[in-house]
Amino acid sequence: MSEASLEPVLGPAELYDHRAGDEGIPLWVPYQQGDVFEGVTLQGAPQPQPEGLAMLFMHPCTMRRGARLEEHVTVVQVRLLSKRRVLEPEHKEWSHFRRVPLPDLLADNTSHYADLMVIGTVASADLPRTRRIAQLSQEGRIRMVQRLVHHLTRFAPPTARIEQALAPVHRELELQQDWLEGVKDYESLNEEQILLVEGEFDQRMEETLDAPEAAALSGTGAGEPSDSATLLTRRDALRTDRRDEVVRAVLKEIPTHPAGAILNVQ
Amino acid sequence: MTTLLDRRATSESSATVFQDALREETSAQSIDVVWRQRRQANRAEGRRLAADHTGFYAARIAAETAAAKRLTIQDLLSELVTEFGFAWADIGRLVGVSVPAIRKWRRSGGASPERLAAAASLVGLARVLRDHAGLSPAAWMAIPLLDGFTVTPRDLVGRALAEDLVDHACGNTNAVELLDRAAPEWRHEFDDRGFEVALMEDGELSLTQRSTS
Repeated sequence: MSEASLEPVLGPAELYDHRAGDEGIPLWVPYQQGDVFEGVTLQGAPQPQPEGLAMLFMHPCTMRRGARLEEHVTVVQVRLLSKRRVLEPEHKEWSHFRRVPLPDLLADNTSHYADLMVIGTVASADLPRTRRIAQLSQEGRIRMVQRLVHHLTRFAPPTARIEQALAPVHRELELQQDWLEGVKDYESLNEEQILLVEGEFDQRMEETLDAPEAAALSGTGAGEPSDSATLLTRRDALRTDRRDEVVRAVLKEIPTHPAGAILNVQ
Repeated sequence: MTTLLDRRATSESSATVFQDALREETSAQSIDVVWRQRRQANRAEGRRLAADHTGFYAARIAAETAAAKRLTIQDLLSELVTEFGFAWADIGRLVGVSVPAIRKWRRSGGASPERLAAAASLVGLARVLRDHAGLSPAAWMAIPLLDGFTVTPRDLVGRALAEDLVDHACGNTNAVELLDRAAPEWRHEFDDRGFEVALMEDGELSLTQRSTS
């Protein structure tokens, strides 16, 4: 019988893209799998934690409808593991597979973990971006997914395959952030304005990759397209070898983004 | 200096010598020796041609990188994303910084000279891949090189010589040749040929990627 392990734990520098304890988390950064929030009440949790920390853990396609969070989402409780130190990646505490390691989560020399044994459903209204205290890096998210899948099934998928499977949705979320950053004075947008801009991005992603006229012209008669692939939405096309076309099309539209109407929302 | 035409002439005259030598030999053993000598000579010539050809790619990459170094970090990032289709996460990994740092550079610059050079090198490589291999660099870099192994060209950036990547992308070498040069332990490191039940650290069994060790 051979022996195996999950991917090694990452240190804070590789694990997080943003922490409130560092430079803060820009509001316009999209919700992501692995985001940690404070002040979340998890009904029925056996040991409520004082800070009310909780992590979004579902796949983005499951927890989002378009660019927005579903009305209710599932989260896992985040618990304190060490008050005094940042546990090193090799520490034996991390070998409990029910834990997603979050060393130095608060950038205050403590260590936390997401407890995969304590899962609850909360209203997404209880997870405003202003309460977000950390966002994992892409590498961190992939390792979190490996731990999650292994916890639920005792199957340890290779991280290279997880990365491949998540690549389209990661690309879409990058584009969503690019779209936000194309808006004039995006740094001062409030949550409501951000949601409106994200809704607009979502509409663009639901458009067909080829203009309807072009699709109709390629048809065999009566305006019927001959190839249903020509009617792919941009979002669907991100999962195909036409990904680069989508990226170019979206990036090209950013400078013409009609920010004025959005920014008038107070 | 020997030109390509000189080499071709040399090659043609050696072919004549080879045919003459074959005709002169009478025993099976000596004919075999002539064949071996001929093949060895061609292998050496093939290696010389491959070295010269990859040298050409190296010079092209160096020229494009030098040109790219005259651009700002914002222009480099814009080219990588818009022209070549790289994701921010890919750029961060290939240049060696976090995605938030990359996004900050995009907004307000501030990349160190080392990181600027790394971004310029990536642009240089991407331009040569586009021009000589006729492919989308970002998409190509994300495709596994071999069935049964997770390794992609992206995994080899910084490990393989850039000109070897281009040489492979252009179809001049196979994936095994590239991997043997760039990552000698690739069969173990990137193995993805199935799963096995293994004993985990917590003393329980799990279904994991098969280990070759």
